[in-house]
Amino acid sequence: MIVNLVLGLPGDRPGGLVLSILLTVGVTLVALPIGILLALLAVGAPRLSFPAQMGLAVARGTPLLLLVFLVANTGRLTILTAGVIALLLYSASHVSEIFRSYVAAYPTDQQAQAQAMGLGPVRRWAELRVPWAFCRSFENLTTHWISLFKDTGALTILGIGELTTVTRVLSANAFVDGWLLLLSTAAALYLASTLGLITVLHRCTRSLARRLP
Amino acid sequence: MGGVDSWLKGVEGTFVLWAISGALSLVIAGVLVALGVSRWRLVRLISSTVINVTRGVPTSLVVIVGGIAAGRLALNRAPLPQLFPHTPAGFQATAWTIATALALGSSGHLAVIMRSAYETLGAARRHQARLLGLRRRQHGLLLMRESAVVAAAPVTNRMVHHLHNTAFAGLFPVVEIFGVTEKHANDSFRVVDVVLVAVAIYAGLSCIVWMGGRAAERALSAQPGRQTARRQPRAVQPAPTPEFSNRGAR
Repeated sequence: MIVNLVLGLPGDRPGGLVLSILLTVGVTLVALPIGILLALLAVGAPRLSFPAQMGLAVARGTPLLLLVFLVANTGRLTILTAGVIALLLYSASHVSEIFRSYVAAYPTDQQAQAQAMGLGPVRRWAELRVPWAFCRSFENLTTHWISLFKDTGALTILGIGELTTVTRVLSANAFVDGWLLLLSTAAALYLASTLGLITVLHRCTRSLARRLP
Repeated sequence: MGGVDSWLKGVEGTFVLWAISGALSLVIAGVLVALGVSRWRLVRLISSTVINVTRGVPTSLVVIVGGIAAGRLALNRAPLPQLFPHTPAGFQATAWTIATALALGSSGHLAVIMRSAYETLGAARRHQARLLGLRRRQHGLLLMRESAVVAAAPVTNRMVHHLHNTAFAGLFPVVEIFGVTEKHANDSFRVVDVVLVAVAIYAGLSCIVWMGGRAAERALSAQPGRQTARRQPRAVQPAPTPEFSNRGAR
């Protein structure tokens, strides 16, 4: 049972917890630069990025389950691709909003100091403003990533074999008393992974905080 | 795309599910916060464990546990009040377990919000409130009111998230918006149109929750003294007295 929950059902591996982790890491790695880029556009060229901002605002206001359902049913995509795209949209929309608020909150005195030092606009943004916003927003971003890991469970609606789907399939076929143990094990796996993720991200946050003035 | 009636049924179902599970989650969160400030270490430990577990386990899984538990434990025969509109009588218990699961899914987050709002008041303010000599209940109410002002905005955001989480009930035969969306999309094959209607409905409901939260925030942050002054009749102005100036004397 535990092997299936961790690795996925036989013939459908990698799945289970491993697939949930892979999806979270993969989506985070792609959505983070996209989100940052969109946030910079929103602050630097608000008129140009207005349609994208509107789209992301709608994505943020839509339940993830509905977003997954929409992406899966509109394009001719495999269910895994559709699920990944839905998660990407969801994550990028949140990352861009979190990052945008911090880029906009960059202190004006630091801006003036950089200008007085004779730094050009590209260097001012690349070397000062973006790293400052990244370090400051990291704690909020970690909250979103933990939430993203748990939200991969929404892909169960497409039958993608991540942990929630495997749990559903196994519990539907479980014996009378086995289902509760199975669901408790899945919950424990999620909890352990979440706590592990929190610990790792907390260390990253502390090391980033040390770099801030 | 389905008639307006079916969408209205979905909205009604979602609203009732959200209201019942939301109220339940606020109560559970309040209890968890109260246990968290207990003088007994074991009680505090239980509170923090429950908070960590409910925050660490995805709501989707908790809802699935609730839905499956209702079927496996034959809870649908239990005499529970039939509050969920348009959900068949045989699945009312499923709706109840899902509402409880949704409540548990949000209670940990709400407890953390409430706890941090209470801590935001600061030890000095709490001590000051104790020195006022109020009764225990009044003292508790005063601190609760003051922390509610701080907690109002994050609680509202969480309640919007909670509204979105009610979509998980669509995995079971409980009538709500996501279930209606799925049905209409499968019946008509006009997925984009159907989903856009659903998005508009969710956006509208989210706006209502946000506006409600904002109104509550304003009402809570209003100065009680100012309200009292507005209700009292204005004092009669004293008759103007002749001004004596000593400028001329100088």
